[in-house]
Amino acid sequence: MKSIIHRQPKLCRVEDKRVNMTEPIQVFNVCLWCCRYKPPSTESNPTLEDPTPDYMNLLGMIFSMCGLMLKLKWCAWIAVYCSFISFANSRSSEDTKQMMSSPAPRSSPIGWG
Amino acid sequence: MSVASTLCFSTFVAGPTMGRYNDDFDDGEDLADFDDNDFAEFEDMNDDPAAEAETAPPPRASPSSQPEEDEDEDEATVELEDGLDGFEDSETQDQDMYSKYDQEEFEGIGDMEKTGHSMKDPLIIHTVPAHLQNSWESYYMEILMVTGLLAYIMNYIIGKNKNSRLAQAWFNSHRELLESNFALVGDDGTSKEAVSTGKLNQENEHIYNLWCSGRLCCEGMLIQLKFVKRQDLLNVLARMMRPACDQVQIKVTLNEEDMDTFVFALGTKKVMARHQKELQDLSEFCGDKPKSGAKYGLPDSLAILSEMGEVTDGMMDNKMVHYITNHAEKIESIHFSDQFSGPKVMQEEGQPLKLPDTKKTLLFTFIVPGMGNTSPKDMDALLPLMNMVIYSIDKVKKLRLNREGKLKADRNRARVEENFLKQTHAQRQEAAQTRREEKKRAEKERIMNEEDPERQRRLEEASQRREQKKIEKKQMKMKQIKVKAM
Repeated sequence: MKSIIHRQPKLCRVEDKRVNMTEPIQVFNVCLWCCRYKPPSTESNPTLEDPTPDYMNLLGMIFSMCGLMLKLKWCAWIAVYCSFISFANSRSSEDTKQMMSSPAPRSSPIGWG
Repeated sequence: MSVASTLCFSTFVAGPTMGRYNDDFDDGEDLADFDDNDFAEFEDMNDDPAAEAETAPPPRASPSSQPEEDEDEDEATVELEDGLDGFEDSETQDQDMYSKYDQEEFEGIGDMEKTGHSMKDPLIIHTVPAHLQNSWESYYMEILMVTGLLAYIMNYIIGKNKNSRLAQAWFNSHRELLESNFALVGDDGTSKEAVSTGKLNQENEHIYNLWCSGRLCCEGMLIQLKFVKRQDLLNVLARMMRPACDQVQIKVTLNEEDMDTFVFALGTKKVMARHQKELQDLSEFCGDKPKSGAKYGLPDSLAILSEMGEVTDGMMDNKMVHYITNHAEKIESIHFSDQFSGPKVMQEEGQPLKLPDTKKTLLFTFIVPGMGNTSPKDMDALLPLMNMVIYSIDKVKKLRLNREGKLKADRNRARVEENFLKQTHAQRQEAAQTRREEKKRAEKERIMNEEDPERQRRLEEASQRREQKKIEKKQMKMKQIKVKAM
């Protein structure tokens, strides 16, 4: 695992502002401290996280189970819609394979119904 | 139907055997011979008796087999004598077949005759029910659902592309300003070296981030482009009822030495009222109701929350007022705080035991014009606001409170801390008590586990002495307090 140092120096060329246009442009090499980006942890701020994809995922699972057990086709269709909505609202940090795998089993009750 | 099938089956079985039965009588044997011996018929016949037994149920033979038996009747004639009516066997059936059965002995014969007649009626062909048909009409539900799904997918693609274009348009218009002010523009935090990626991080289909760092007076700046969920059809329909707008949120984190101790906020009245309830620092340090910005030359729609008047006077200089007045419709809130810790944390156990960590932060929330129907050109209108942000960073660095202001600010912070400690006093006592008990228990366990009795005794004595000392100390303290009180 790469260790990323939070604060790193960076050399920059800075042009000084000229008061008089006849003066030559002065360029300095300045060392500036750059702080690296840290993704905000959702544990510290659970209210900021959008719960829609999780709720839709759960609803989709429930409806697909109902559709399968009770042989209700409309349940299965709602489950497919829920999985699509969950996918549309999901965070891109989640695994694409995991997201793709959810509509597949949910559509099976439609075929059996 | 089942009766008919039984009849069919029995007829198929019975048909050939009845023919054989008739043939036997062609030999001219007198039926009278059978009177003496009931079983004689079985002895004389060449076929096995099982075939004879099967002729017993012929009375129930279906009408469809009737033509067959009519033929049999043509082939063989049977002579019957009187007095043979008592026969329960199938002899009587040969002659009459279905039309002359004794009504008393056989049930359902009348029906059979009727069914025989119904054979002559024309066949009625019923239409096949819809769910058994193999046509488009039976799949209308599936077609509807698939159409809905296709519409959702189309909307997803269109919405995603629009959000992406808007984000790119924003970045293109702001890139030059950011690159001239920050050494690091665009960082995803994964590369080992601090190199500008020069592009936005896509967190979602509707949220884009940009991290800028490497500037004097600030640690870093996180810009979040929070668009409406154009990729979700449900959200699009919900926005038709309740319009929402795209937002740009900017969070500037400052170093410890870059900001003095004050809390200040400015924004629309509704948002200020909400923030005063929800945010930790605003609720603690800006207890007064939001004041109208008209006093400082700002539009009436904006309100100000401030820790002290000196801060407001210091912040609202001419340039700042000019910025805010010209772009008032695009500003949702501006929040400068040295005690920023986010929204109030509501824990289940009650108050948290420790004060939340604070950071010196400047927060800006801007509204993109267009109210949801934004075009890439509207992104250029936000450029002056970015200039205001850069100006604010430098302004905050320069703003220093005078002696009175500093004292007041320090007193406020001490008051907040004291209140917090009082509220959590009971919980902290409980926690301390638990820790002490835990310690005692661990020590006792250690003493018990000690195998050497001599060492055990010594450890016990040592712990007893320690407890005695503690008790004495407490007593001394109580005495001192009493003396002081006196």
